[in-house]
Amino acid sequence: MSNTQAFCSQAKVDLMNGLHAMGSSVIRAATTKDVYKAALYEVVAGDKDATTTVFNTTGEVSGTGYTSGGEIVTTATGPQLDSTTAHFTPSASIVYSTVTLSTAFDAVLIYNDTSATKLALSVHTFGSQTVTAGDFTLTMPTDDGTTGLIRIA
Amino acid sequence: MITTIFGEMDENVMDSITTIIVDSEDETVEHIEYRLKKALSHEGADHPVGTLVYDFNQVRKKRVNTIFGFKMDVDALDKHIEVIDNENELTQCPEYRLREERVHDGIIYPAGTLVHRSAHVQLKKSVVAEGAAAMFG
Repeated sequence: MSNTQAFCSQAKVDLMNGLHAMGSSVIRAATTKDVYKAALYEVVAGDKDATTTVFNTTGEVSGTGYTSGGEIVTTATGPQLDSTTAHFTPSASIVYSTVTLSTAFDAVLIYNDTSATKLALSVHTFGSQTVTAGDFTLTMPTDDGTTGLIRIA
Repeated sequence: MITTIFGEMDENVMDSITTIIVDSEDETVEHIEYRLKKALSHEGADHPVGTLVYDFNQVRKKRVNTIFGFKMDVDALDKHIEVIDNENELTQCPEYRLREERVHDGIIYPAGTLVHRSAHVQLKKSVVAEGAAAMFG
């Protein structure tokens, strides 16, 4: 058996769980997991991408039944390891019930609602949508190392 | 009273079991069974507890929220489903439009007016960070 260079697999999960801090970190109030929310963004805003750092209301959808900041993401199942890939997927669909969103939107920002600055986690895009007195549902992919919504491979 | 295989019977002497066998965008179909709560002798034959004495399917048409602030039967509306299926998503968007002109709060809404649109997006694509450890030398 020989030594092998590697990004240790468990460390990928530990990063997702906030157990490493190679730079300035924050004082956490508890060991409990953070609350994440999902906010929808209009097509015309067009600036939600890898450079997004925090949640903001610029370009966020508005309409009947939608509350700014979006919906809470269900995180019953925390990050897991599948072979050498850490993965995390919300454990339930994200549902915006009985909303009217007349201006086209095509992105959802998942962000940390517990953090003081509402740190951005990920952006997911889909075909341009509008909703009229209906539901908007985001159904999650299978939570594994191949299709999980957020992965560190 | 319910008409069973034994004739008219009081509902209270039976257990009813409801099973949803279809639950689609347009309708729910329930299968309803009535079974004996107690053993019964009828015309010289014994029928144990649980004997199925009557069953039927009940169809309930779905209703959808509308721009009018109340739900409407889907039967009164024209339905169209837009489907997007690509590497990023599988999306279904059911739309319901007025089949006939409707007046609501003094406003005329012509046939074809969009009164309900939902969107159900199945996300397929992950966001991935690649972990790498550098080799020295």
